Amino acid sequence: MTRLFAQYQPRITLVNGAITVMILSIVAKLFFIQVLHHDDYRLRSDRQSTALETLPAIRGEILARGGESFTTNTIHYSFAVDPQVLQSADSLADLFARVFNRPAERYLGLMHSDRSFAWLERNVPSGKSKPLLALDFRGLIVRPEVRRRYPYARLAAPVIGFTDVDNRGIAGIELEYETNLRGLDGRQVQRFNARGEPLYRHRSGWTPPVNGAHIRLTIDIDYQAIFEEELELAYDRLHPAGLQGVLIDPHSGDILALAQYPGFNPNRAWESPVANQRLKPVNDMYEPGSTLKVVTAVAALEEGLYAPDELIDCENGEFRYGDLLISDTHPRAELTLAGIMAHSSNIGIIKIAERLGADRLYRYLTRFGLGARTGVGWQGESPGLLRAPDAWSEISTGELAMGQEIGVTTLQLALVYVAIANGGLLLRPRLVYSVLEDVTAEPSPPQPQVIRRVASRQTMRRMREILFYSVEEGTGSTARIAGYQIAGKTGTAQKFIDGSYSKRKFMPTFAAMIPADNPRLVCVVAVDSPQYGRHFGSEAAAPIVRNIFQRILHLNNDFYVPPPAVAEQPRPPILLATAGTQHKMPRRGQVPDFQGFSLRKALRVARQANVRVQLEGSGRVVRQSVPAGARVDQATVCRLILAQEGR
Amino acid sequence: MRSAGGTYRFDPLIIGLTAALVGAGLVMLYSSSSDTAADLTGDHMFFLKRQLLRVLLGSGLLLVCALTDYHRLRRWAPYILLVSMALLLTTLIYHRLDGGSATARWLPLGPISFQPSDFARLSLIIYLAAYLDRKGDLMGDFRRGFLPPVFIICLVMGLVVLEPDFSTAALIGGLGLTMLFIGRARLKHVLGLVLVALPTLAAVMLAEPYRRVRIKTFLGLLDSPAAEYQISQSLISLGNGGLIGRGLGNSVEKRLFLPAPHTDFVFAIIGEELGFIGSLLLLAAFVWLFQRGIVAARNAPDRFGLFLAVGIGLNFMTYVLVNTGVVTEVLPNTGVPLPLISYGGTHIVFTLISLGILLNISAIASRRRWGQQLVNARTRT
Repeated sequence: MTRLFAQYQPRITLVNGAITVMILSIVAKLFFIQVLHHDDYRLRSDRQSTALETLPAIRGEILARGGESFTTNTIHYSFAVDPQVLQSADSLADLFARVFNRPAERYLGLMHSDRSFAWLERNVPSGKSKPLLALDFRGLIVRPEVRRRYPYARLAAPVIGFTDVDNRGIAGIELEYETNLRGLDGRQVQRFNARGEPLYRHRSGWTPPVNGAHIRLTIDIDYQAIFEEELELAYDRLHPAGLQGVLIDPHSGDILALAQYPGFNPNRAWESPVANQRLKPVNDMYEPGSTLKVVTAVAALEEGLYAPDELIDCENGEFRYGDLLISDTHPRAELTLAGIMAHSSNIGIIKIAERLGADRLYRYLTRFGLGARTGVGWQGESPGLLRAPDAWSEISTGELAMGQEIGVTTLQLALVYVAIANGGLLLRPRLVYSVLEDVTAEPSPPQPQVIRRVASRQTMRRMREILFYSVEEGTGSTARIAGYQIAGKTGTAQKFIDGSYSKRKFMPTFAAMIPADNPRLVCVVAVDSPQYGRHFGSEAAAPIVRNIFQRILHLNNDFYVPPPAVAEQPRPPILLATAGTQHKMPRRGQVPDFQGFSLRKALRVARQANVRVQLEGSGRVVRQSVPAGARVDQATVCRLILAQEGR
Repeated sequence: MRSAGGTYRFDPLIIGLTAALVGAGLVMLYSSSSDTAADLTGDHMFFLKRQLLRVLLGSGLLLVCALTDYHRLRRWAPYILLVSMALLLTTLIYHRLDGGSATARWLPLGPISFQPSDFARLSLIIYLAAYLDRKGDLMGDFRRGFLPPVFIICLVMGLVVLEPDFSTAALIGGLGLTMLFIGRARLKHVLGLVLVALPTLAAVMLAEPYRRVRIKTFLGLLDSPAAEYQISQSLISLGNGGLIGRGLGNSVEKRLFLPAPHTDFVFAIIGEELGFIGSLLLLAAFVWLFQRGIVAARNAPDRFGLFLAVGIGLNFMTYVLVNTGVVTEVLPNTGVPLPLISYGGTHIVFTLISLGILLNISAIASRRRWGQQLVNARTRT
């Protein structure tokens, strides 16, 4: 230290001390802010610079049986404004008005509201959004949104359903499986700069989204398309209020097609009435009429009430039952059980039902699953309507046997025929084949779910034979397809309107299975109020089923020449009528008994039996060159001699 | 006294601390300014590049000053002061002619805008050091010793206030008065002057509306979010840093939240990225550099060197104190840069020039001491 400095040192020390005090006070304040109140300030910093963002999970697809996707997810854009910071509202409103063809005032109104957020347009397809995406308006908010599209549009629409503006399922499978399809949104903490622009290097708190599972339906997309097309064609022909139907695999309970017409386009669901969006084959019940006669017939067979050739007095088509006058469309004096089914004799089935009794009939109705939900898993599924016998009137037994005084859904009706087709098992129907987390993973096919055995295999086999003849010879003949064995039953229910049965409004139905001996498909079609005059099940409903089967057969050659399981064992012939004409079910490669057949019928039976014939003369067959029952190959020709009756 | 030949022995601590502060300053300047730069110009290195140029210029001038005997300044002192005051006047006139923009603190000189108040401050320090060297023994005399430098100080202050730059003027006043106080002016003169000056300063201060708002905000009398915004963001920035900071480059506040993150509030960003520990180390470096200035003063061979070193050290430290005081809300908000760190052309150049002068004082002092020891050794033998 210089002597010079010494004289100034006290004052320098003083100033130095003051500076030290100031430095220490700043350090103290720093400690206070940075160490003691770090958490408060950190929270304030995070609050102004971060936001919790959701990472949307991708919605699962809804797939057809074969993997075809009924759905796609597309990016749409939603446009909103913050009216508080929006600038140049006029030009923006003009632009929106031009793009969307709506009045600019609409947008201006939204832009001048006192809120801080207002939607302008939501879910705009990316193509239409393009001119708007490039905009840089302060206060304009553009939000990309995933939107559900349905590339097959109307196809199976009531089954698939649709989503709302927030992409939540509100109908159909979209609703039923919402939780599976939606998946789990992920989350992340996103940091922003003061202008709200995201800072991508500052991500934290990241939870990845779990994408939704895919739902694979049992629906076969080809069968579904065929079904819907045929319903549409029939709609043009019959002018009904509507049509519906179902196609089921009787061995698995898989619903292969579930159709109705008119339907709707799920891409523009708001344009069609809500009634069309309801899944009618599951949600709507009706009185099925004669198609339900099979329940009484199965009961009678299972209970052993009738011998196959036992004749039942059919009163020549006129019968007083209680205070009702019952008439048959095809009057007969006497018919066997098979004949009653073939000609759909109301009188006959009433007689059988009365012998069966109310309790036993009720037991079989419930065993077939009627009056209870099928368990397909559908919101608002109708359980149908089946009253217990203590609520029945004195004619209810007969009415129920005819398929009146009971409400069923098309699906319930189909399951009755499924039980007949598969040898007696009531199955739980299946619409969803599997729920897949990953579309490439292929789970083993689910086992069919058997609810109960309804009747024995023998009974059901006999029932199928009866139904086969109902198509071959009876009311269902309009469903015949050359070369194939179809078993089925028509129904023509009068609709119950305002307290009485309508004379002009009918509900024709047809239920069928193919091939008759070992069915692989069960199909039910119901037509609601077709044009009067074309209202019979045979005319309205049966041809639809025939067309559907025919087109499916064209797709699948393996339906052709089904294995003759039914014809394998010898068994008593089915008696159809009292008129003395008895027919056996034709067996392939075995020469039928052509006696008394018309030319046309002889040809048909021959074709079914796969026997080559040569015809001589006209009228009815009086002689055949190869005796009935003989086994022949394709080289053998059976000569048939025909002669006019009375000669 | 001339430094003819021989090698200088500069204080290595002044060199090391200056280099460290300038280096750290450039790093923190880049970190704090890149977002603002990208936002304003599209080039995130915009401010860094310009600051680098000024650091290079300043370093060159530092070298020149360090190698130039500081005693030359004693003779030039009045002329330097005159030139700096002329520049202040020119700036005022230039801006009046230019259309009377609100603030006239800068004079455009080619690509660099020159802030004459920075120059005026240094020239006043040189002038006062020269005055105290010459008239140091008369400081007890009010009229002959105390009043003339006070008059000069007021003149410079007046020119700066007119710009208007009140805080710089106040700092110049405080700095000048402290130098006179250390130069053994009578305590009653100093206190009397303070008593007279404070109401005057207060009146001038409250004449401008924006200053009233700042003072009220600081005192908590005004509940104005807009006025509080900058200082509250500054505190959030510091507090967010915590003990060890968010890490270099990780400031959130610099993302356009905190206004002026690379100029007057760079200390807040440093506190956020490097934490309490980082802020403390920075303050320690500043204090250490200041103490090396005092050491240079202690070893100065004459009064001119002593007061020049003290003045330069004080000038440097005042800015550190006021800047960090504002950032931590110990003082009301005013725009004062952090020496060697903040972006701002003239300030860093003149800070480096003043440190060059300080280096020269330290070198001559040590050479003299070394020479003295040599003489003592000879006489002993």
